Amino acid sequence: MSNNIVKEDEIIIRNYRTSDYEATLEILTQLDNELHIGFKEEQWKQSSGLRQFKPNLKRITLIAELKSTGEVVSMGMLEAVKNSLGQYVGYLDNWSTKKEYIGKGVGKILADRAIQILKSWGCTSVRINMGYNVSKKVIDVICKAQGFTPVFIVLEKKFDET
Amino acid sequence: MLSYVRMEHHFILVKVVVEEFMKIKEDLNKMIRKITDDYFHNAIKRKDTDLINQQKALSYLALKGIDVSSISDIKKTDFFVNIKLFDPSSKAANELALKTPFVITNVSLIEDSQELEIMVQNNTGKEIKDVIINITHLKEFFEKEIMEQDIDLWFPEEELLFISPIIPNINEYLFFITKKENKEKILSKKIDLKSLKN
Repeated sequence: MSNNIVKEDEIIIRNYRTSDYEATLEILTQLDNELHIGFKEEQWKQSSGLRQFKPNLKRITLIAELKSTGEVVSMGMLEAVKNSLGQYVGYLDNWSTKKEYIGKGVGKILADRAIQILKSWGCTSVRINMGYNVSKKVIDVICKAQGFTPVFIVLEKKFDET
Repeated sequence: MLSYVRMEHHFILVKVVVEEFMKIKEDLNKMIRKITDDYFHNAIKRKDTDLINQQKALSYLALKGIDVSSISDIKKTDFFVNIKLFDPSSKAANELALKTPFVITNVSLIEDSQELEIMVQNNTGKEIKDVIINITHLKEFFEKEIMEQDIDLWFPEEELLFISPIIPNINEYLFFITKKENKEKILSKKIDLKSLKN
């Protein structure tokens, strides 16, 4: 494996298994420490990453695993949600890579696979929610690499937890 | 003349030896017949009792929805049993295992969101293509569908999570897996919310 870029044939992209629980917990905790995504350990259960089916919703957690060591280096959740017009819209959530593998192309390989899956589910588009204060550089990278365009601003009001 | 006498003497000796050998052979045959009759009679009786008990246990476990495939893998230490004169148990266990290729590994009730979570594992050991999942409930003798989901590809050993809304005042739900091709039901399971609440 080269020191900079992880090649596609060096990793396995697969569905989450319950045995990935500890590895995904570590990655999500790292992401929360960095970006405060509101992750709560007690709400992330062993079954949380399994392929989920609910009326009007499908969800998969994809895992990127190094072929050589079996180490889980990146994860991302994708959802297809049926909107009020009856169309499925895809979402990429909680996209996260282990610190030492950031900038090595793993996230892009994972996103390419996710987009393929969302297309096969009949989604008409795919969206990524990003922090309002995210740098323009990050937006530019994603738009350039994957063909995204900024279209929405989402406003959120948090409820008090009682 | 002397040589003739010697030959006759040898002939008599051989005759005596043959007669003794035949007697020994007959005695040995009698002994073997008696020992094997007693031994095999007892062994078959023992084996039959074990099998009846084993088959009763397998039927009970299968009715409870427990996977019994591992029972066929139990190593038997009795050398007689290894001869496999009569062993229908392995066939019975394999047939029962084939009937439970999908296992419901967990059912839980999410009180906050009023949802039912059903976790199912593909235990067939191979990829399963094109099955339909249905969750229904019974209301006034009619079956009403809550959820229908197509599964194009289900990986071996993969667990899938199906989340269904709970209908107020309905406690009994039915979970089905059906082959898309011929509509054959490959798993059906009743889920009683009352038992989950207890």
